[in-house]
Amino acid sequence: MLASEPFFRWSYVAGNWHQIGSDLVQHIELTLIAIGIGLLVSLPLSLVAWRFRLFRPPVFGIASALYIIPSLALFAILGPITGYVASYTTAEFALVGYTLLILIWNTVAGLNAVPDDARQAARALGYSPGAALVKVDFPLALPYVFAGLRVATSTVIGLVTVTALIGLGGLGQLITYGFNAQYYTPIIVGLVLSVVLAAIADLLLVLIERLTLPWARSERQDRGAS
Amino acid sequence: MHFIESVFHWFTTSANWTGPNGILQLFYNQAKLSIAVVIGALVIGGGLGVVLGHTGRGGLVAVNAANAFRAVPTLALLTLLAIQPNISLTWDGFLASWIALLILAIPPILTNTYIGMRNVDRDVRDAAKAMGLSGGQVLARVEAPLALPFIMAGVRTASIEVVATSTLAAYVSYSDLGTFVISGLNGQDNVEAFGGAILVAVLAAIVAVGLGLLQRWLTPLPMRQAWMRQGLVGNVSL
Amino acid sequence: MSLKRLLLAGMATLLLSTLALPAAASSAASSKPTIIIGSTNFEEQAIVSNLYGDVLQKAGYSVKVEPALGTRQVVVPALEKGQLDLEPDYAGTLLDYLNGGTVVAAGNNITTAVPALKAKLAKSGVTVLNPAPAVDTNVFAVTKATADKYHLTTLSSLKSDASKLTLGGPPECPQNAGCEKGLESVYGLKFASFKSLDEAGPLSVAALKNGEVQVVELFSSDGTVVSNNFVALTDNKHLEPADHIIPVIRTSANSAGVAEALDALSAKLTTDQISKLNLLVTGPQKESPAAVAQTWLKQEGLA
Repeated sequence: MLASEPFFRWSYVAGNWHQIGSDLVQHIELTLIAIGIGLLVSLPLSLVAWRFRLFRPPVFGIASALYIIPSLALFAILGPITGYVASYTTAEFALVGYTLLILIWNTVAGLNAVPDDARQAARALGYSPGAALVKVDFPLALPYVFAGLRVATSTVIGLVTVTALIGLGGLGQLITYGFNAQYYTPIIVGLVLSVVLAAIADLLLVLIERLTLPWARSERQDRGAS
Repeated sequence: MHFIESVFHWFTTSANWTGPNGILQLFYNQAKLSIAVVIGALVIGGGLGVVLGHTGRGGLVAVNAANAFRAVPTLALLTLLAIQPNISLTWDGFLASWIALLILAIPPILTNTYIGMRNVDRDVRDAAKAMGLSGGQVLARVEAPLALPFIMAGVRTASIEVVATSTLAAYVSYSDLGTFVISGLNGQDNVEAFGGAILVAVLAAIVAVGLGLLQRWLTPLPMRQAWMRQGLVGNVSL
Repeated sequence: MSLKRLLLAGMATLLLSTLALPAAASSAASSKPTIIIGSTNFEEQAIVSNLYGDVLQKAGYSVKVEPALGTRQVVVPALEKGQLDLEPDYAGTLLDYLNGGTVVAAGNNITTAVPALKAKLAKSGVTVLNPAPAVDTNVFAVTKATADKYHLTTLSSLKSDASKLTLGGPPECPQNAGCEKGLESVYGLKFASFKSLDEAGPLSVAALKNGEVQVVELFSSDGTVVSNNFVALTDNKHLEPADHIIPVIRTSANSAGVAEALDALSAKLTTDQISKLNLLVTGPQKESPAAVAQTWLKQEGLA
């Protein structure tokens, strides 16, 4: 039965492009929300963790814990409170949890990398430590933040599929359907679209970075950082 | 309270530790799989990173492609292999799990190796050449040792991801700690599922701390100090 | 700076609009209330929930068929909490599930299982309708060659030779009362070893074919036993619960019209019929569950 199943059937794509499209849109939605909330949560936490050493262990500890808790367990805990059925809230808890460690780690590394000269110049210009953090240190750390953002975005695009367990999943729906129907084509469509989506998102982020941080360009090329 | 007692009881029941489906055996299976995956990824991803970093050609393209490959859903690879019984039944599911997890582990190791190689000071490289070292010798004696801490950071990230994700290997009939999680969830035994999740988290934590120490130990002190100044605390991996 | 602010503002609006989307979609107005149908992540469940959806739509209800929702641990709590209105389930196994996973004697017979389910579900405002004749339960299958060699017809007939054979099944089989655990306690079968495979999927079929296991757990309604010429051993001591396909519904959604439409459907749904529909999805045709459901309902004059 399986031996005769072709590796890819174009007829599936032709007959189901509507479904594939809506799964793709959901995939993008889930990713954007996760990255958006991830940034909103991680940036202030990173600034606090960097400025006050005391907060580093709890911030990194919680972010690390969220990184390794299996999503399945998280869904079981959150389901009764935030909803099981196609609940974006439940899904985003799991996805945002994954972005935090990556984003915080990179932001703090970026703040650490700010040259002392720049910091002293800010001081000499009369900036208070708080103002210097926001107006001098943070902009200089942005190339690292972008590096973290790129890794986090790719990772989340791959992880969105696990939310298929609560009826979302974006392209993950194609993967579970393919598994149940023993059908290669939808799985391959889901896999390829995930990678293409990640490549496009990565390109966009590089573009945004170049437009917003022209000064970081030469530096990045020197370092070859990603 | 009752639940926590049940979990405690699950951990203290000796029958759960022994036998072909006991904690010890499944822990061993998971460690075996994870190590084999990381070694494979180190050979492929690390090797590619060293070559690209040494020649400096095509590196950025490869690193960017590697970043997009982080988006390959491991579940998709596992399910593709799972409905291919010839592969998924080989060595009790070991081969299929190894292939799927390898794709997960290569990008962080490749990226970090490449960055580490490019990060080697140009002056150091030139000095080595001036001393009469051949290209291969520069690579083996100068660049690779200096890039080692970066490579280790990538190995660490990859290892944590592999340990956490290998729970899915139960899908292709490979028995490891994920078997407790999946069989607990399917068989409606939350105690077993929770116990399995704890074991996976503990293994991931051991790997994270252990490899973090190894990475520190492999980084020469002056380099560590320079990093502290530059801010590269050794965590560029993530 | 202003560009950054613009970016942030854009991201925030996107975020808010996507968050608001699902809420807006589900509040669509209609004369009869929308019935939300859920199912687990399993092709037969997708087919049956589409069957339910189609007949209800024909009866004039607006219907929303949710995509596969993982496992019963997601679907049943969602129904009890009112996040779903209707789901197809399996009578005996559902009863065991509601009793914390322990086997309930009433679940072995459909005539006792239905009242027991109603009693158990009433407190969460949920009930069950008439069960279908279709049964989807674990069956234990052997190859024709193995059956001939050891003269196997029933599970009892395995008794003397089980110790020479390897059993295959899903990872939870050794602890599952409907699998290895029950085979030992009810039939006294002790196998040489157990091999963890999948939930009656391609691995189980392949492992039985290539001889890695000699006995394997499959499902009575997935058509693989027949299509592979396997022999299913009769469950002569009723180890397996009476897993008739049954609509589980919130009482608030259970109007006379809904019950009538679903009862008419269930009456026609036999094990043979659902096996054929399953094979259309998993077999070489690869039809979608929704299309399979629609075609069949037309054939049966139900849609």
